[in-house]
Amino acid sequence: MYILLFLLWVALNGKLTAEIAVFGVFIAGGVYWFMCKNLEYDPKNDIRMVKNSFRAIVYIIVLFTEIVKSSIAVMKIVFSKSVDIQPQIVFFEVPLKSEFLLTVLANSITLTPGTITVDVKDNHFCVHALDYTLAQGFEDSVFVRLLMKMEDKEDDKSAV
Amino acid sequence: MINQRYEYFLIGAMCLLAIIAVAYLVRAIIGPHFSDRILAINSISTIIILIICAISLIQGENYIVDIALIYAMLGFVTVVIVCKAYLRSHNKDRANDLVNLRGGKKDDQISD
Amino acid sequence: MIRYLISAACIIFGIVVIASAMVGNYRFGYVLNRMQVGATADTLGAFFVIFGLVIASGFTVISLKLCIMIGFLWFANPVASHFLARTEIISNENILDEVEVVSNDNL
Repeated sequence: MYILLFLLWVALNGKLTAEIAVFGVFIAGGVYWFMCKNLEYDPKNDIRMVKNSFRAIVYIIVLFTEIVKSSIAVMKIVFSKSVDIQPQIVFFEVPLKSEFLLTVLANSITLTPGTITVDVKDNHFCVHALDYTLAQGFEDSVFVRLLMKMEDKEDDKSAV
Repeated sequence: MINQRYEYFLIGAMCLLAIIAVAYLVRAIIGPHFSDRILAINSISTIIILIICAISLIQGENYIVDIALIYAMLGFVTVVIVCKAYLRSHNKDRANDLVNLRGGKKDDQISD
Repeated sequence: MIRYLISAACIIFGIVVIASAMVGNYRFGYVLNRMQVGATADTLGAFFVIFGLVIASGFTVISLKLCIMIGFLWFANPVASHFLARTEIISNENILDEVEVVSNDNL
């Protein structure tokens, strides 16, 4: 995370000189200290992030393909002759525990065109869907399965 | 630095985006509800961000992308704050009525 | 030269997606449905236009900043549309006329 902050500083500066690098080391350190102190960030999260990075990349690729697929479905609905759709609000629950993964799931449901997360309370989701065909099978979708795998791995690690 | 023909193409693309932004503006003016207007304004801000990115590529200056980033943050904060203020001013009685929505539905089924 | 062609194709596809979102915005009658189509423009359209610009600018600082831009848009847009949907559902009195509520969990 410290390295990411430093890289963000360099990228926003636009060039890499000795002066900017020295300032960047101190400023990224200060921001990292602030995150650990006030934003409940833990240095343990760094290790977890590195270990899960491969799964995260797979997740992003799957998310992108899902976005393309459902975009095409939504565009088909838009350009069809008569717009007859049945919007639905679906309530369901997922067996995830970690708050971070729940947030990721809610964000990716909203990011997918055709579905919007309206509310999340603990692990109960409230999702609005454009059509009933898009609203099926949330409980065992690809996202949930991938995130479940990630959480299992985390549990193993915390047990060890 | 950048190809001349490609620059013309970028200018044409920016014109198309501007036309779409104007169409969204019409939507924002005639939108019957409050949410229609906010939605249209959110989309307009996304399109303006894309136009600013294209301008930065034409000019070849990298600080213009920073302006686009700040614009994106501003649009996001605008939507969130306006929604919060509208909800607070609208009615406080239905504060947690997502539960009511489901509860009412279930009660109907039971009574039926 | 071929780089510019690929980038132009990406940008044209992105503009087509955004334009179709605009058409859908006029065809659908209700806000939540419009919001779904707007989400298409915000994610896929913006991604393809910025990706085309990244390809055209090559490996420079501008492309790095544009990648940061994509990341920020993909984090911020879902939150904004979530707030909008929540506002609409809480503030609309006749929400049950427009949508159908299906409950899949056993709370």
